[in-house]
Amino acid sequence: MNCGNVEKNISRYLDGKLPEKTKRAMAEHIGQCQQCRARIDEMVLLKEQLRGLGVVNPSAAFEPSFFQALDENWEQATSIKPSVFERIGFALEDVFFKKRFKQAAFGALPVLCSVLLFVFVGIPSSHVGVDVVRVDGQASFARVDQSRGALDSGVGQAVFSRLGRTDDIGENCVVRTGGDGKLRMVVDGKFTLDLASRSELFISPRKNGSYVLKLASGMVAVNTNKKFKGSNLSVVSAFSNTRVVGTSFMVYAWSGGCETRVFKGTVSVQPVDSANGGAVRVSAGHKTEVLEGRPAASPTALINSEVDTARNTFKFTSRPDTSSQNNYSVDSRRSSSGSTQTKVLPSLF
Amino acid sequence: MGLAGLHAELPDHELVSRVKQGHKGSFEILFRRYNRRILAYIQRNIGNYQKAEDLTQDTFLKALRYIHSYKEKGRFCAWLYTIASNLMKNELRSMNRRKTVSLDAVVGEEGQQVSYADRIASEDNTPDQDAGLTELGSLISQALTELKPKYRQVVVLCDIQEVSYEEAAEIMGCSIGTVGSRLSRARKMLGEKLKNFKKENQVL
Repeated sequence: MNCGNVEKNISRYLDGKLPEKTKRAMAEHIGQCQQCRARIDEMVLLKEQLRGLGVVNPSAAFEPSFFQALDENWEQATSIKPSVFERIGFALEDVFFKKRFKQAAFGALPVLCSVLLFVFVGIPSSHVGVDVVRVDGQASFARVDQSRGALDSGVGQAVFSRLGRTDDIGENCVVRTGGDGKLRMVVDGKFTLDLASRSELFISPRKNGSYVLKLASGMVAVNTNKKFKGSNLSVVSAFSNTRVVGTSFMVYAWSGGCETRVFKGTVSVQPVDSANGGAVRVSAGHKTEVLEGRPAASPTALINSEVDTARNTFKFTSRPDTSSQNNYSVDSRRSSSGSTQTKVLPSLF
Repeated sequence: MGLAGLHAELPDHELVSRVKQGHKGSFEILFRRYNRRILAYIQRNIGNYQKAEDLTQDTFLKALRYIHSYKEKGRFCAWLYTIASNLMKNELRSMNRRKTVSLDAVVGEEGQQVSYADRIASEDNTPDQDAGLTELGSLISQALTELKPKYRQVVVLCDIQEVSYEEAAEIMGCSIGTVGSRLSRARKMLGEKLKNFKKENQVL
């Protein structure tokens, strides 16, 4: 270490900010060099003198004038609270920049993940709401107590005499329409149901966010919301199980069979094993395929059927679903030539 | 002992949380605790005593205005220094924009005309005299005003207010290494200036 190095490091040396090795070398040099020792003494003296300047006495009027200003500003200043975004920002700061929060955050990570997983994957089934948009004639609904296997007629039974929202329809609810009744309702803002007269539909929200609509009788038309993944919806009747892949369709169930009409998108229809020969019809546009009971093992006849009539604008492709022998998919898309035609959506009104 | 007296010994963070709950007395205690230091910090940096008092008042009012956003990441005092630094920066900027007036320019009513230089010299009770500063203290003060703002600020923070390198870095918005190197240069420059002043004024 030479005098030049000492001069360079003198400030950090006095503040104790030098690495141990440099500090030792410097102390050694200062012990031998009188000039550097004098320089150190000078600096120490300067620091001492500066320390004496740390406080300035204010004028006599300063404090009273501040307290007056404080009185004037107090109400306004304390009424301003941080905005929601600021609060979120502060909370995030806490989590990411404070040590104790860091530990807590990492500790809580698995819990947070499970909560998020639960929120996104499983919608609590007890909080399902329906918005009744339109009612003609008579319609009613009731919550179903599944554990007792019977309608809980005492609780929650109501007649849809007026429009409005019904929150928390429970784990299962049944909607019925009378002889002249028609009903349009939106379930959880995800899909719209049109229920024809003399229909009975059970709505069962599942814990994984999907819905099963059991059509006991009558006809239901479904329009799924764009934001709702249609694959989470299936309509079950006594004869078939219609699974949706984002679409508009209609299911009609009667004592001898059922029919699924596709208006837009794709549905996959699976005849139920216990259908005992009941007719299962799937149609798109004017093309109708009839699947009777258990269909043939390899329904190649359904592949690439094309329909082109004057009135309809749809072409559809029905193809066997390779994942299951008994599955048929009907794909209904508008043809290029039909782009000017009116959009057809299922509606019972 | 009044209510304020009871709370006077409370630590800063306790007082801050009381202020957040709407207790005005706690803010008055914080003000009494730190106003002289903040005033010194501003005064040593901008040199103008009256302006320093105004900015000190603004610092505390601004602190009150944003008290809900204050997070106890560091000392409350360091937060006040940061607010004061920002206000000071704006003030120095606007001072630089203002037109300068020659010290020899004549001011005052007719018949009592004096130059600016004489008027400033005749002002009685300068704050340094109030604080009981020695002649040496006044010289240091004068030497400080001749440093560039960034060097002056680091000396005022680290040597006068005795703030740590880490806090100074946060207040000045620079790295700890920069604080170290600036401080080193500033002390050297200050030492040299002081030596010259001492020679001129024959002060030991």
